[in-house]
Amino acid sequence: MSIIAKELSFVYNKGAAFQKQALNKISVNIEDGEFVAIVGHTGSGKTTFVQHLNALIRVQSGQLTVNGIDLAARKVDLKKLRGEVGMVFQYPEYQLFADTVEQDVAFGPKNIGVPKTEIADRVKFALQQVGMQYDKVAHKSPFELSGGEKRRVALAGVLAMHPKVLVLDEPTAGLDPQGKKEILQLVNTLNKDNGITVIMVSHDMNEVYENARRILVLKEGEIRYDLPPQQLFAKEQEIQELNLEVPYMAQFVNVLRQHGMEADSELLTPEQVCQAVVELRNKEVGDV
Amino acid sequence: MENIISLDNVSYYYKVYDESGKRTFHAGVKNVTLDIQKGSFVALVGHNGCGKSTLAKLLNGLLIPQQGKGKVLVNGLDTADDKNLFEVRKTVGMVFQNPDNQMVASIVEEDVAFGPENLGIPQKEIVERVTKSLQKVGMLEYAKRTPTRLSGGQKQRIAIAGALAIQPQVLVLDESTAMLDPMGRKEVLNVAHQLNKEGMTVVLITHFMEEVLDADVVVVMNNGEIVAKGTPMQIFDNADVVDKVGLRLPRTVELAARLHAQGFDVDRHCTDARLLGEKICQLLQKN
Repeated sequence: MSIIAKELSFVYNKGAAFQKQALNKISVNIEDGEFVAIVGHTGSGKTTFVQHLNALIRVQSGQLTVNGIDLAARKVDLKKLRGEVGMVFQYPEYQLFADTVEQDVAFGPKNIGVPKTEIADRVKFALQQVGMQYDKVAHKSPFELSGGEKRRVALAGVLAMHPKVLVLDEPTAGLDPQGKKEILQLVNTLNKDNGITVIMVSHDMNEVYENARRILVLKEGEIRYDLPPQQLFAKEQEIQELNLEVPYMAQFVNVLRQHGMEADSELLTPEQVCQAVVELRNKEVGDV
Repeated sequence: MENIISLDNVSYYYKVYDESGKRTFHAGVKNVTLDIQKGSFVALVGHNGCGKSTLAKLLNGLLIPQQGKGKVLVNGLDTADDKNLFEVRKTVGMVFQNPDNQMVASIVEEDVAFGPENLGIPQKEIVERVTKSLQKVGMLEYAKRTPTRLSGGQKQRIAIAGALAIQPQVLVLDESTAMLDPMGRKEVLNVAHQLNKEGMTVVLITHFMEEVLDADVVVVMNNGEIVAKGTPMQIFDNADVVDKVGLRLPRTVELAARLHAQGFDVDRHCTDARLLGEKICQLLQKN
C-alpha cells in the first residue's frame, strides 16, 4: 500500500482566460511509513498536489492510487479514502466548531459511521496521542484553549479517524518555538511509532531539514528534486535559484565538505553537527 | 539618550471567569518597568501568552494600566489621561499579526489613506503622505491595486505604510512576521530596519530569535514579567533563560556555542553558518 502518482496533471479554470497549469505530469511513489516534505514557492503546486490525495480535488489527467484506491476512477469510495488519508489544513484551529473538545474530536469518526461505543474510545486515545488529558479538556470549549492546544485538538480530530496517511499543510505556522517543537515531536512519534505515512508541506527549510527523510521540491507544477535532506541541500546554488533557503546546518556542513571533510553520521541538528566536528578532530589527532 | 516611551512599574489584569462564573484576575503584564530610547530598535520576545501583546497594546493606549498599577508615558504624556490619547496614538503606530485582518479598503492607496483621513489632514497632504509611505515600504507601484491579490509580506508592508501615513515616531510590530513565509518575513524585517536607520523607533515583537540579531535591545518576557534584558549576544549567552521561557537560540548561534564549549576557538556569537564552517576547517586543518 502506498501513494502512486503517474503523470498527474491539473489545470485550474480549464479553457477560461485565467487558465493555470497547477500540476504538470507529476510522477512519484511514496511508500508506507515515509516522512516526506513538500517544499516550493507559493503557487508551485504544493497544495494542489496534496488536495488530490484525499480527493478534495479530483484527478483531471494522469493516474493516482492511494492505498490501493484508484482516484482516477469515476466512482471513489470517499468515506473510506478520507478515513485513511487525514488532512490537516493550515491553521486547523480555525476549523474547530463544536461546543466541547470531545464533540469536536468525535465529529470525524461519527461522520464515517464509527459505532458510538468505539467513538468514545477513539476520542480518548486521540487526545492522549496529542498529549492532552481527556479528563481535563474533554468538556471544555475548544475556544478556551491556547493556540498550541487548539491546534493539537484539531490534530486529534484527524487522528480519531485512524488515518494511515497524514497530510499536514504548514503544521507549525504561527506557533512559538515550544508549540512548534510539540507538534513536530508528535508528528515524528506518529510516523516512527505508529507507522503513519507523513506528508508535510512547509516553508521552513530548517524544520524540513531536521524532520523529513525525503524532500520533494516543486516548481511550476513539476517535481524538480526528490532527495533526502542532506543531498538536496548540498546543491546550494540550485536551491537558491529556486528562491529557497539553505538550512543553517546544511550551510555549515557544505563548507566542511568543500574542504574535503565528510562525516558519515546524520548532520541535521546543531547537536549532531557539533558531535561530528568533535569526532573529526579526534580522528585527525589520531592520524597524526 | 532621550526616552520616547517609559513604563513605570506597570501591571495589567484581565478579568477571567472560572467554571462557576466567579470572576478572578489574570495578570497579562506584571510590574514592568521599561524605557524605550528614541531611535532604538527594541525586540520583545517570549512564548505565546507571555504578555508580549498586552505590553504592546499598553504602548499606544489600546490598553491602559488599571488605577494605581503604574504609568505609561509616551513623549512624557500619560496614556491614562483621555486628553493625551489622540497624541499618543499619533506618536505610536502599530501593525498586527494577521495581514488579512488589517485591510480596510479595496484599493491599496485608499487603505493607506485611512489613517490620515481620520485625522482630518487636508486632501493634498494625504496624497503626499500616501505616496511617501508606500515608497518607504517599496509598494508604490501597487497603489492602485487591490490588497486581496497581494502576498502576505506585501500586505504587511501595506499595513506598515498605513501606520507610517500617520507619521508616528514609534512603530510597534506585534508579531507582524508570524504568519508570513520566509521571504515575506525578510521583506517586513528589511523595511523595519530601514525605517529605524532613518530615525524611527521600532519595537519588534516576535518569537523568532533569528529576527532579534540586529536589535539594539532584546527584552525577554515570561508570565507577564521581564525576565532578561540586554543586547542580543548578552541574551544568547544566557541560554538557560532562553530555554526556560520556551524559546530557542538561532541554530547557528547554538552550534557556535556548542563548538566553543568543546574547546574550539570560535566566536561563540557567530551568526553566519558558512563563516563558522570556514573557521572550523582552519582549526581542524591546523592540527
